[in-house]
Amino acid sequence: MIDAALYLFGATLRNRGRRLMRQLRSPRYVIAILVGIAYLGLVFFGQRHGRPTTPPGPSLAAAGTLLLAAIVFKWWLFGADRSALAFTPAEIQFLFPAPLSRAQVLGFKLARNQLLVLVNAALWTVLFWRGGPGLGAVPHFLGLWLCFSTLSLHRLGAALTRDSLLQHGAQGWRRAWPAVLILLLYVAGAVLAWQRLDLPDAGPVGRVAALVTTAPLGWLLLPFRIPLAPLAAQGSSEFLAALFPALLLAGVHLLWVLRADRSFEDAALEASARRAELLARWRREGSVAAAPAGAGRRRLPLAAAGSPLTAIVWKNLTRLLRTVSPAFLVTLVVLTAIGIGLGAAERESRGELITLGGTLALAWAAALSLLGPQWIRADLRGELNQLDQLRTWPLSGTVLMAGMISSSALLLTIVQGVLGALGVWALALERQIPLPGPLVLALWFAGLGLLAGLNLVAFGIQNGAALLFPAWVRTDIRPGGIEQMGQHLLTAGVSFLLLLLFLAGPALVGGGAAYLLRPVLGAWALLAAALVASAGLLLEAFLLVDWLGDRFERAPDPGTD
Amino acid sequence: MIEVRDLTKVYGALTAVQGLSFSVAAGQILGLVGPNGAGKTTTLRSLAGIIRPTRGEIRIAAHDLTQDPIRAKGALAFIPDEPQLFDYLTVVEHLRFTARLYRQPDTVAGIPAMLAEFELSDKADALASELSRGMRQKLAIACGLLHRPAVLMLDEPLTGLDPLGIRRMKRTIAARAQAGAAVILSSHLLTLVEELCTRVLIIHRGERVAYGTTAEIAADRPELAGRGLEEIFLSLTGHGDGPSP
Repeated sequence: MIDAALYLFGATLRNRGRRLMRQLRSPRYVIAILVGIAYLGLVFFGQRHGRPTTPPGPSLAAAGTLLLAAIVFKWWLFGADRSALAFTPAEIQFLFPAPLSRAQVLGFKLARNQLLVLVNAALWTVLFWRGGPGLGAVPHFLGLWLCFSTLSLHRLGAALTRDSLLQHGAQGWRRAWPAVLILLLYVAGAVLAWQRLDLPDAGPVGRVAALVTTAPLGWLLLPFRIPLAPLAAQGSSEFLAALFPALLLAGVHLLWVLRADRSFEDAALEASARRAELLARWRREGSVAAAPAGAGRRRLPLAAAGSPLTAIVWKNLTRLLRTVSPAFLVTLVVLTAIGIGLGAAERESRGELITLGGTLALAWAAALSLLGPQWIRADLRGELNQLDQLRTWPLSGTVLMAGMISSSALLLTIVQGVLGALGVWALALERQIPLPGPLVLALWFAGLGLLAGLNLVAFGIQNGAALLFPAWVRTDIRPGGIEQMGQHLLTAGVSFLLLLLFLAGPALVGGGAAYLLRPVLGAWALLAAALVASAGLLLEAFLLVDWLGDRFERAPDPGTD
Repeated sequence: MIEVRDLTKVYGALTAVQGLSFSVAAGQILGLVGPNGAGKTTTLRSLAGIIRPTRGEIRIAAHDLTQDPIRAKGALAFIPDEPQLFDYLTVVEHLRFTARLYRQPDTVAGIPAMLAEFELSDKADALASELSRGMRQKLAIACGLLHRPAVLMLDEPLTGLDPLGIRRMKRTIAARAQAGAAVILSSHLLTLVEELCTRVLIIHRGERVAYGTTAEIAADRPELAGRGLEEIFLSLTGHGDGPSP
């Protein structure tokens, strides 16, 4: 079995290398790889010449421990990422009917996971280790390898155990209740430890750091500190002392996984089928986001009569509504609550807290202009693999592109509008805006127009890139290599430059209007500037969408016979 | 209803379809057959407006597909062999969305009947991702038929259907033709083509090798007299065993 596995890994590596060499004949790959290498080189060079690595302080160690605990609880409560269990269809075809024991097949899977773990540990060492008084590169690598291996084994074990429970008829809550009980135990431990803390001068971060080591929570969190301890070691002797428990923990995990192989085949087949389904969905829809069972209950109304453009917007927003992960929303709410909690703890007065909240909301609204077009993909980028179908629709290219682009732009503008309203309201409440109320309100409305224009242009650029250069858009859900990183950097860089180019005209005209009208209108010249700039951006967006519609109709054929 | 003149499609050095001309009148069902790689899918995709022909003219319901694509596409329905659905929309939402795309609000009232015809009534609120392959195929066809197209093009329409589904699908296709639609049916199932189609277009290496009813095709080639479509097809595509004694 070991011979066969080594042969398979070796042959796969060799053939991938050959394929890469063949791909290098294409200038697109050469450019992408060069950019990827240059980026990695810059990061590596920056690390070598940056601050040397220092062992993590108590705050960082506490954060790491809590993060690890959060990840593990997430696996047990909501199910582990079962891709760790998945085999490729070819592996199932060859390995499962072969005269191999379950342990051998599972061993094959673990060995393949180890390849990934080793590569990741090496990459993290190269990228994040900077020399200095802390650990050397080799112990750093070993610490990372042990930590990642333990996590990988735990994920596999959690997936197998949850599957075993499922096979025994334990559904939903019945599968999760032991994990919920243990979580409640941790919460109780945290409350008890919090009551025992006596750090009146420490800030919230210092208190949390102390909490992680205070009994009884400190004892409960020990299994999460052990894998991280080698990385937090101050020197060689401390590292060696931390290494033994970490190795022991990894060994226990290995035994657990190997002994839990009773339900291995079924779980692996199910995970493999799930991966195949994701791949198929990616090919069909360009996205792996799936509508979970029951998602059909989340509805948006669609009138029987009306423009096809609004129907396209409805379709794309329905997709987003049904595929957005509840876990993502929960994470967002929890992170916001933590942020507000930490902010509240350090603020003296309610007024300061409101000002902080308002400033954060406005900062988020502004940051989303850059991040939103990358995150929200309720547009053509999600339908690239269904171009055949889109081309049979009795619509002009302009209507289709307008529907696609405005779906994402509308959503982002609404989110930004709400954040902006909250921010303006909070700052106005604390009298932080030195402008008259009616002007602030008018500026908020004008800002919506400005953001709508900006978002239409930004999503137009992203959709244009997908339409005109589909080969540069990711077509596989498997992790990509350096060339994919280079491609992503190049497309992101060019998109950003294009956005700046589109912004330049309206910004100049708006700025000019403000300069010229200020003597006459005073502060109200700001409104005039915003309106002029909005009009400029909306005009640019209209022209861009029209041009993209034309390109859609004339685009090269989506495929050959 | 469908008029194709000198349809040619070239991909680089490869000529996928060469000078294809044919027509399908209202009520007719044309069987499009050919070996793998003959150019059937290219022909269908050109007729559906998915790809642009290199040369030639396509008229759908009297509208030039190149000059007036929106009206031409509004009159046709193309159902590919692999159903293309939105996994995140329910069955009934697919139909409502189709009604909006084709600007046919009155067809919304006919959705329950359409669901019943395709045995999808109890799946009306199921997401497309929750449907079996056969049901996905039925939904794709229901979406195609909702706007009562004058031209219907089907690529391997029976793939994934159970025997009962096959029988009903054949009835549906025949009924649409009887109602006046021009139908093009591409399939490797020559018995299906023989059973349903009024005329046959056989293409090989991108070119037309035969066109007409089975009897007309055989009449042009005395050695094929009395043969079934399968033998005619194999003979014309260079795989025949020659006339049997």
